Amino acid sequence: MKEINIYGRGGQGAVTAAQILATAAFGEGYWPQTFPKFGGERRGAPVVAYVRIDNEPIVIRTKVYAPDVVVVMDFNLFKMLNPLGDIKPDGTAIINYPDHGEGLPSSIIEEVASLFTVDATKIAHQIYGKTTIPITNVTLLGAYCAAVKDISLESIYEALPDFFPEEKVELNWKAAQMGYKNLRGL
Amino acid sequence: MEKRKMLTGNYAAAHGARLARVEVVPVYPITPQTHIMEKMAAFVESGELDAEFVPVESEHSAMAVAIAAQATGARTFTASSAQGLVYMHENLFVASGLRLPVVMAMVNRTIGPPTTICPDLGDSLDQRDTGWIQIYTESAQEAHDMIIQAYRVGEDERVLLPVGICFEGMIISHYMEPVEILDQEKVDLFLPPYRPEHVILDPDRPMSVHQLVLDDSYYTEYRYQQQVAMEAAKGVIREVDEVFGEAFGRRYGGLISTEMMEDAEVALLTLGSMASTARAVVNQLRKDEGIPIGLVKLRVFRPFPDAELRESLSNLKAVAVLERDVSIGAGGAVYLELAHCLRKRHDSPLLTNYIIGLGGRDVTFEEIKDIALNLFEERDAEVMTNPIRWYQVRGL
Repeated sequence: MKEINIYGRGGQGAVTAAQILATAAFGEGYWPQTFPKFGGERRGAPVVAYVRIDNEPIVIRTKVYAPDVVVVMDFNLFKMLNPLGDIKPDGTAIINYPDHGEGLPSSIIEEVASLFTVDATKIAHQIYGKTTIPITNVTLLGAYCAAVKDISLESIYEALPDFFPEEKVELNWKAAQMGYKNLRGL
Repeated sequence: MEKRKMLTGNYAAAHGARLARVEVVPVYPITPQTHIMEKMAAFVESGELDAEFVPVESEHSAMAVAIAAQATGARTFTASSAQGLVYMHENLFVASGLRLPVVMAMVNRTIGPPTTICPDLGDSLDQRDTGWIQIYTESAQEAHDMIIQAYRVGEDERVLLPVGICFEGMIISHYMEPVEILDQEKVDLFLPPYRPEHVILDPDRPMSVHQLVLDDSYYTEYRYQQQVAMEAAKGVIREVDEVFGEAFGRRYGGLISTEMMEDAEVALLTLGSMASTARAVVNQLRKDEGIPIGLVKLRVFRPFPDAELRESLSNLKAVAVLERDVSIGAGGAVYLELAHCLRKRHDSPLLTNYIIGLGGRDVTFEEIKDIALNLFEERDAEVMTNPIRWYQVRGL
């Protein structure tokens, strides 16, 4: 079983990202489970959504305490909490961070076995325009596919119509592809 | 043809109500139930469901509309949680007293203060004396299936009582998982239309309902009939489970479901979402440590399945009841009734009660395992000292 924690802020779409990822995994024949750690999800407040992916129905109903993969949609979250604090020793992290990851604190680099960055904020601004809270969720799912390689980018595409009106599907597909292409390993 | 889809517990429940072809849906929004209301409104708007959606001004009114609609012979569905469910309280007695088989999704949420939108079972268990059948579910699939079964149980002429399908907010309402949405044609065969004879407000068939019973005329007999109906519901719930199993290939076991109980010395007894994680614990303790432990999942709280529980628990050494609720000043609501049901029998097991998961606090695999191992260690004690245990209190 693989466990994934997606950290974001209310309004960025962390819960939707988790649901798209789980739906994509379901499309590939897995038995996923996804749910938010629910605090009311006020706009801008920290949010975490959990995903479990397995080959058989998942019986446990608890939060994820040792994720295999952590996705961080907003680097400023590190000022409030450590999203990587409970990652597995051989875990993978994908962080929204500019400039190909240059300038990432060494404490973060040393904490994670396999670390990737993508400038999802820049991509979000290019694709969705300037929004108060950059919508980085689908871009980071594209990056997830490139980094973790268990779910294909095409499966993300197939899941998109469940979550967006028809006219927004292609826009989000572009964001996913941009995230996939612009992943940087450290 | 059934199709499996990724759905939240809330949407799974809404699909269940749609497939039951409900005709009137009065609801007032409250987290964590609101997605059910939104989905039902969307079904009506899109024409997928031919129903009257009534956006009422309060939960009390939601139940008032449900009562009136059901009394005209319309199949009715509503949903509520926490303070909203408590606000309905007096009208819940009216629905059951008038023998109207309304169905409600009771999406469990803690009653404040302090306020949280996370779950415990205090809101629905608080309704235990209102004369509603209460069924607790542990997954989106079970919630979906049981909404449909609830109509068949409640509308059975031996029963004619309202039914609450309970599932924990967040842990089930907001978990998204694969759910098989039942086929409409098969549901139509399983669940015929509601055609009441006992209470029907129809100008062509004048009938007086909701009478005064002054001077000690018939109040006792009305209540007695409700009790008889509740007792009859036990058999009907089992029957419906069987028929549902034949039609759709899934059985839940009726009033309780048991696992690994054949040669068990001790057992965990729980309800709702904790049954899932407890199942994983029991499986692991059996497989890896050879501990003779079983699991009893309480599916139905009203009517209380006393005979089933006595039968499955009698020969055990000890049972731990894990529940996300407390009757302050006494103990867990399920434990208290179980203790009553097993009283004064020479073969009764030792009982402990774990008050756990209040306010939606996560109940982990390790915590349930700890309780299970502790139970096994205590199994030969003379008596259980301090049987009611608050497990997760910080600073104790």
